[in-house]
Amino acid sequence: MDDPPTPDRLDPPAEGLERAGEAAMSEIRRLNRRLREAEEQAAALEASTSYQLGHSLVEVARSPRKVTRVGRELVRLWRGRASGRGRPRPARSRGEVDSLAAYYQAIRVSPERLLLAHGTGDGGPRTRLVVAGVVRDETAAVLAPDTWLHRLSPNDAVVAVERADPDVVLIETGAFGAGRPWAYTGSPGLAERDRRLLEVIDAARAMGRPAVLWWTAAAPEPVGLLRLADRFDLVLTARPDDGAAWTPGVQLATFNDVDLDPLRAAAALFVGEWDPRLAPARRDRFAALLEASRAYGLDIRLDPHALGGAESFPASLRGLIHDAADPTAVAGLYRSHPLVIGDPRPDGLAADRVREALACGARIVALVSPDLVALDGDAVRQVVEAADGAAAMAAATAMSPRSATAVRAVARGLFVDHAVPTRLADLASRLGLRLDPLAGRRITLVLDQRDRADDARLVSDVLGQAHRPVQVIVRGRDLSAEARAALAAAAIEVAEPAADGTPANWAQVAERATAPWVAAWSTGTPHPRHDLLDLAMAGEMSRADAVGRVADGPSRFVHDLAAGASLVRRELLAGVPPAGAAALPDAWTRDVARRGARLFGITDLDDAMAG
Amino acid sequence: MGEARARVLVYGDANLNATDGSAIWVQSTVEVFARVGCEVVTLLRTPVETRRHLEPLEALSGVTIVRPFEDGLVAKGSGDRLTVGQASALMRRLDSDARFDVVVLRGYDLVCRVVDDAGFQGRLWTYLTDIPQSITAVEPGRIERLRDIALASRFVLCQTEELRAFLEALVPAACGRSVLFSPIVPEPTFPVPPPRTGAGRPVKLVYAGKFAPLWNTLPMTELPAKLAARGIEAEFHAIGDKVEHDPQDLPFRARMLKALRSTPRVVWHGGQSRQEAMRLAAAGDIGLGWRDRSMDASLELSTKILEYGSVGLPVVLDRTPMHEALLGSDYPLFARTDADVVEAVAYVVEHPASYADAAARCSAAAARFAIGEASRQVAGLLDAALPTTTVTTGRGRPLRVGVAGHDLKFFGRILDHLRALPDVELRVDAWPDLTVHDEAASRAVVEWADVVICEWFGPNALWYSANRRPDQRLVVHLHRFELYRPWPGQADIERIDQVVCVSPHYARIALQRTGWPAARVTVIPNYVDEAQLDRPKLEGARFHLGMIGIAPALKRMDLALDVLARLRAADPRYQLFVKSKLPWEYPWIWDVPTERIAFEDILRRMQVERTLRGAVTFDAFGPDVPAWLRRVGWVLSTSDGESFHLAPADGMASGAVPVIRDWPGADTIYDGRWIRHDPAAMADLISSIAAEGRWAAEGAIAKEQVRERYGLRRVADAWTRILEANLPGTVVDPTAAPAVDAFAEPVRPAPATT
Repeated sequence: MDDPPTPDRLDPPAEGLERAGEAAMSEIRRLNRRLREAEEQAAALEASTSYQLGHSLVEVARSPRKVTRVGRELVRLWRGRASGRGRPRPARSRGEVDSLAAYYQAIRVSPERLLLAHGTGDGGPRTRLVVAGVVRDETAAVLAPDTWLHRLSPNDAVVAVERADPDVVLIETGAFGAGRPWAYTGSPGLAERDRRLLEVIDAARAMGRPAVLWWTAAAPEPVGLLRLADRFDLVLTARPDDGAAWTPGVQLATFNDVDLDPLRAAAALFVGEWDPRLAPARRDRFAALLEASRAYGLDIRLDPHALGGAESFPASLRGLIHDAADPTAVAGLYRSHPLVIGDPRPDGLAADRVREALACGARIVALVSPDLVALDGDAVRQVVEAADGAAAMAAATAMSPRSATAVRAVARGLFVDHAVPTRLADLASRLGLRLDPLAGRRITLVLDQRDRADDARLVSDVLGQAHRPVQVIVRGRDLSAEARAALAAAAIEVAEPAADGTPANWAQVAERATAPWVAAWSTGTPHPRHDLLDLAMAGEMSRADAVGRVADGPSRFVHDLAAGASLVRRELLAGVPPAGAAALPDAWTRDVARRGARLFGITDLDDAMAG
Repeated sequence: MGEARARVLVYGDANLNATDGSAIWVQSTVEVFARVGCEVVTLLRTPVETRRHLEPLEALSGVTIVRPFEDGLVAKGSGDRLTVGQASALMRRLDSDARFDVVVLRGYDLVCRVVDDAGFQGRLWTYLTDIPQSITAVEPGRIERLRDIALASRFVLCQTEELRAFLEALVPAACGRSVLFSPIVPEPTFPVPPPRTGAGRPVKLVYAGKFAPLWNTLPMTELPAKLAARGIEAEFHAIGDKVEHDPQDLPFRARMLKALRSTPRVVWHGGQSRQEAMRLAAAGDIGLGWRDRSMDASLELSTKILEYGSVGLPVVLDRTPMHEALLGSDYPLFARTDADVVEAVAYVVEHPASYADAAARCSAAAARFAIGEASRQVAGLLDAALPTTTVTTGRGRPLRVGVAGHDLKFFGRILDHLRALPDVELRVDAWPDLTVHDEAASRAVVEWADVVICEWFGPNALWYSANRRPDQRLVVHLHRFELYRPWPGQADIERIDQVVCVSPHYARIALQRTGWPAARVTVIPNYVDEAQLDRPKLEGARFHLGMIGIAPALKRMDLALDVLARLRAADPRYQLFVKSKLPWEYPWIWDVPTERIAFEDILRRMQVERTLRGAVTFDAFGPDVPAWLRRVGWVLSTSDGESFHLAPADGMASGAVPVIRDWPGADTIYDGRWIRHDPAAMADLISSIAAEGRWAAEGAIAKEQVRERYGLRRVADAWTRILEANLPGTVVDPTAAPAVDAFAEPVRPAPATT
């Protein structure tokens, strides 16, 4: 406890009464501070495991009948020893989550977790968001390529969270529907599952990790969670009218136009379920739309997870149901059908399904939805009234399949606003996390030896990029001071040239590059606005190790890049650097391909923006 | 009135001068008990100011209203309402004048006080409304109180299945005692309009009840204007005079009153009696039961929406699992926002067929809560609590029955039944362990009892057969476990009147092993508490397999995984839920290396096999099996052998379809239609029933079969009969092959003591 004030801590009286008064006031302030500290310490002590342990044992001594309950209490204390788990956390307003502070508070008492979290063990470096989630299969498939996803089973959820030490615990209510392992969590009265869920949240809290409740549709709807919502750090929803909207977006690695056949079959496709919970007017409009699609060879594929099954469809449509199509494996269907009927639910997930089909090159006819307004046009036709369905179908089918240029234009929009890393970045931002899920898109741009007269145009090209590099490395002559300043002003780091002025070889570039991707520009040729964006997007779609241009045909995986690589993973340069040539040559790409690297080629397209 | 079925006290801790939920509950409850032939005494909490709710009760035969303030039962100056302490004392006094068979109480504080006063132990039927409804809102102290209440109660009355399940999950002691006591919709005393075929114009929206923020009553007043903007002429008719003062929303009261008084096309009818409110509602087109989203998690059902339905009105209400179960997931008038309300109302107004469908659904739902249905529920509870079976004693006193055993878990409900018989006195000689007992206590039972039942054929049976009185009956309940122990062989069968086995198969094995006379061995199957297990299935249950008990390995969960894998290869919606202790929770199982290997193999398969990944969930072992079975559509029995295997029977009673492997003797207990030889055939059975859409129908058949064969009442009757005389002995077919028991070399030691 506090030391009592002692005379030698006061200024001598000889300094004068006024001075003594100030000193006394100062001392009072100091004592007040100490008092507050002491109070905080006492509160912390009461919350501490040791105090509660002692308290529990005293209770047993007083009343041996309580021994069972106290036993459970001791287990709870042991599990929650890193924080004050068990007490409801104060409700936070939306968008003000300070997960970072909570985390650093938690590791204050268990700092060894830092070593574990950043160890070099099997988990690998934490270069992606680490997510522990109770999520549907569909969500897992979307998130997995861009996160370290630990799916939680009701059998092992708490220990799995503790083992994963996730950046975020994501609880999706859609995972609580029947036919799934967490079925009936949050269903009124079924408290056992709710308890398990609370244990997960408490485990996250003990580690200082944020827990997010994300409302998506489930049958039955877990309305019981309305009463647990204040235990979460953040509550999100896929329903746009229901609070803070969020969805994980489009997984471009799955939904893309890679190897898209321009001569696709003419049938219309619907993948999904007949949702009895749709508002009846919307249900009628959707039934009319499907009926209108019958004339265009409608092919209905059932979502195999949907509770209703084929028998839930109107009898007149059941004959059009051909098979089940798992939403996690539906991209191939989209790529083979030029026209897709949109999921009729007016929520963000349905809008993402539409975007997925768009990314695969399909045209869409869908019921009007607020989330689709921005996409309205030739590629997405929205149906307002039941009678409009036939006309929309006729118009959509009268058009030829969307051009590669149009598909690319939409894909760029998805990459920027709706792809998984973008949505994860949004989530991380709302949670105040330090990790940037967009870091995997960063590019170090290598500028070849060039004429100083090109500086202005080069800077203009770089700054004009829709996807700017984070770093520029100049191989050879340095940039002018003006050019450096212009790039720096745009937060683009310019690496210093070698002291002796010799051009950096690729191994040196790899050492100096700070971004995971390295792009090479040669001087003398203009670089259109989407040059780097198209490359980065191709990298994200293909998960390839090197991306280059191919002369014609669809974007596709290749065995070599005849025109050389335009974008490569930094590790590839560090591992097998090309010879000191100016570009990343074809021969080198063949060499790395032989060693197992994946090469991807994109075609140069006109920058048409039409869908 | 003839002899009353039972003498019942009803006290609701309610003010019958007011028209609120608790007053209505008292009125309805008294009426229901009176209708099933009980003599009902109800105690008023307050002096009588209005006889509005009393008059209907006074008109009922066999109902006595005790007015403590008017009848001088409380001292002058003791306030204007009974405290819970006064009520408790007064009820005890009434009981001492003439004993009640049943005491029905409503209100947490009141029940706590009565339980503290140790009043009416075992005769209490408690109805708790003000208990927490979320696990985060429950304090440990409250759970202990609820446990005390449950233990003191014969029944804990729950308004909904959801509340019942929550209570059981919270308080294990409530399992087996919690019963459904649904809200009761009064019968209209006026002619109800014929079924609606469409909404009138202008559309009359009706709300009756209190005006409060969470009840969305302010937005309701805006609906006529919003519908008018949609081109639909509408009125809002509001009935009630209670405008809530909300400390969180101080201006609400003024705004609500202003809206009621001055909004165009809003008609405020003020406070009305219950019947008048229903009559006014009947003149409308659509009832409004739409509330704030935060109310969706409630475990209680609003009687208001049922009352609208009882007069033929369709109702706008929130989409919740409870409401979906009531009206169907595709009911057209579910709404969350006011925009949803406008859209839903507009739709049914413009689509008369949809309107008629909604009205019919609400009407049908209300019929399930009519007083006739409530009377049927209460009659069933009275039958269970106060059985009327008589036992002929010929002694001029009740028959004295002693029950001796170390573990009565298979006999609990039978004990309850015997204890409740009017002509039976019961004593239990509880052996602390299989081999340990208080010999003096056992001798006292020998001296006292007319009949002794030994639960388990263990040392207890040996002791009683050696020490019984000659004029005493001795019945021994033999389970499979003892069959392979020395005790049956050591007993003198001539000193045992009859041995009871659980199945014909095991009766035959018992005869083979012991050589006892066939007449000395009879069969009374294990019982299934069908009333407790009969609960509505949850949505999606038809994709859920259930297994109760997976240890030891001879239960063959590996075969259940085979069944599951086959099903999921074609349909990923199938899941397996396992309610069991895990093998390591039984040290005597976990000590066996082969058991550990077998379970690890199961876990590994769950991890590596694609079709099994994320498909198996272990749920905690516990007494809440009936609530758990609500999620199970198919109950599996994959064992190498069982003596009876109660799990399929429990599942059947719940409406699940049993799928049973052909373990020896299975066909002597269960219908062959459910029995298959191997996992492939078991999976085929499930697939074919599902594909043909027969799941619900097969479940109904299973439920009926188990009720007929193993229903608690039927089995309890058999135990009642055996008190007086031997039952028919086992029929032995000399040409039949010897019965085979897969568990001939048991792996389990003695069952744990209770």
